[in-house]
Amino acid sequence: MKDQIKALDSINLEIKKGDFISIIGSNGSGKSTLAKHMNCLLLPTIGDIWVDEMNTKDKSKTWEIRRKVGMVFQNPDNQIIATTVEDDIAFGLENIGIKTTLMRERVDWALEVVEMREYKKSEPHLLSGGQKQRVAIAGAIALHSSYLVLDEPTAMLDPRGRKEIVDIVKKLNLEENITIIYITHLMEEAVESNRVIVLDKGKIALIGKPEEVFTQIEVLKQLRLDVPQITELALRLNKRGIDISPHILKVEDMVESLCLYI
Amino acid sequence: MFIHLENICFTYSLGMPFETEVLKNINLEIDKGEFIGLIGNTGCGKTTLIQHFNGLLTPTSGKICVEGVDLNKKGVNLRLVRQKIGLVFQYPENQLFEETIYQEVAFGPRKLGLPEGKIEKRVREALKMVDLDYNLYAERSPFSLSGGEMRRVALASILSIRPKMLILDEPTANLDPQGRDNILSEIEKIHYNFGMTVVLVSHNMEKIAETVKRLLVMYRGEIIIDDTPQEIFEKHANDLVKVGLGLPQVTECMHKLKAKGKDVYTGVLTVDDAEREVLKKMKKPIKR
Repeated sequence: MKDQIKALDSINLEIKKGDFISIIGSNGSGKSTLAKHMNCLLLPTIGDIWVDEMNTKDKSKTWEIRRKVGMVFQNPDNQIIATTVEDDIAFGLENIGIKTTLMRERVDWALEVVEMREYKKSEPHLLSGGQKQRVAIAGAIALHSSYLVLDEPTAMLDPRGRKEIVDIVKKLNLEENITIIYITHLMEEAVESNRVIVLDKGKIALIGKPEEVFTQIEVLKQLRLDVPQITELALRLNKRGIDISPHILKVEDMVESLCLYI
Repeated sequence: MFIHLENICFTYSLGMPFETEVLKNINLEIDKGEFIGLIGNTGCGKTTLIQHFNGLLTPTSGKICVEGVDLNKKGVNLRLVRQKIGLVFQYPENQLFEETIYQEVAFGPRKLGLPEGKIEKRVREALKMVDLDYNLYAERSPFSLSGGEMRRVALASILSIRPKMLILDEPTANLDPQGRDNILSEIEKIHYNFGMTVVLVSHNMEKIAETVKRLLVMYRGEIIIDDTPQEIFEKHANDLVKVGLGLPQVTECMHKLKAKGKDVYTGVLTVDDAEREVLKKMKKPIKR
């Protein structure tokens, strides 16, 4: 085509089971395109993607891969289809032909994990944004997916809703051992993961632990990204010769360090 | 006084099973030339409130005056009020529809019945206000633009009506950090260069607090705090956290230091403020 765009360019990446990685990057950097490759919504033009030894190009494996890799998108309203919360979560299970008794069990478990059990008979449109997004997450994990890809799940939520989602995602990772791939614009959220990938023009610009990535303030600013306020403050004080670690990412750690001087 | 609200109450679906009281006894005065942020969680009534400013919604009870004119009085020309108060909705890029950016921005002035020469002048002026080069953009399709640019065109199409006041509902939603900073600095420039009265509506503090001069915090249909951002962060930090709005990291840091008995000023908004305050309060700069 005349207007062809290279959205992803020579990406090499390995995600281990049980990991919690976040992907950040400005609009158009390729974050969502990369996410959609992880469960065959898109297939690579060149190269291969393997999910548990299955190649996403192998058409006979598509459904199995999609069952293993759950997806949650930005706008929960686009993902919720049934008239009650529990029906919505059962929808995916019905599609793969799970027995009714087992379905009941899975729905209850998924709602328990996202702390929405008391709302199981509620109508989704009467829930808050954070609650709706938790229902969307429950719908994905009810299929017993081992991997969960979340594409800016908090973009439309207020601060309270954001915290609800981040807490649930951390719990899924720690308690249910679900591998998390978390796409976000918000550095405070990316800080919670084990590994951060920064995408720029379809390439991996930076990769590492949060404290390694977020201390590269100049690079992040060049890539049109925010820097956590507390890290920037730590770096500035450090530059002035004050003995404060430039790797501080959390407010509590900063308070502790500053207490020695004030 | 530009806008004056007295005991405004508003209930959706009055007398129906889903009757909800959205605004409870709102009293508010906005002066010409103010730069205001309206903050509150989703569902607290922000959008409902601003729709009262130009008569899109009529209050269940209470009185609204714009430049001394009572909007509920019979025979008030609401068209004129809506020309004075430009309302930019959430995701305004969704309302773009014309073939070229020129036509898009010209739509409002054309509806005002202006002659073509004046329309062109207005389009040039409005595009300049949002930093879009007339020669490069006028003949392009609005749909060939990036999200941030589309939002600026939508803003220009309101500015071309030459409103005295600009209300923007979630202007930074879904933009990346750079896009967000760009649109906020355009709005700041419009406020300072043209003396425009501005109300920014948002559900998060991100950058809004550092931009505006006065902050209104809404909670469950009421304005619970009305002050400068510095005063609010200094004195009402607990209330902000309680209503689920949260604080910027540097403000939270100062409050935690204070809780540990340290004598620090807690009304900091930016990294610059925090750095200055820390350096000022250091017992002695301990060098490595």
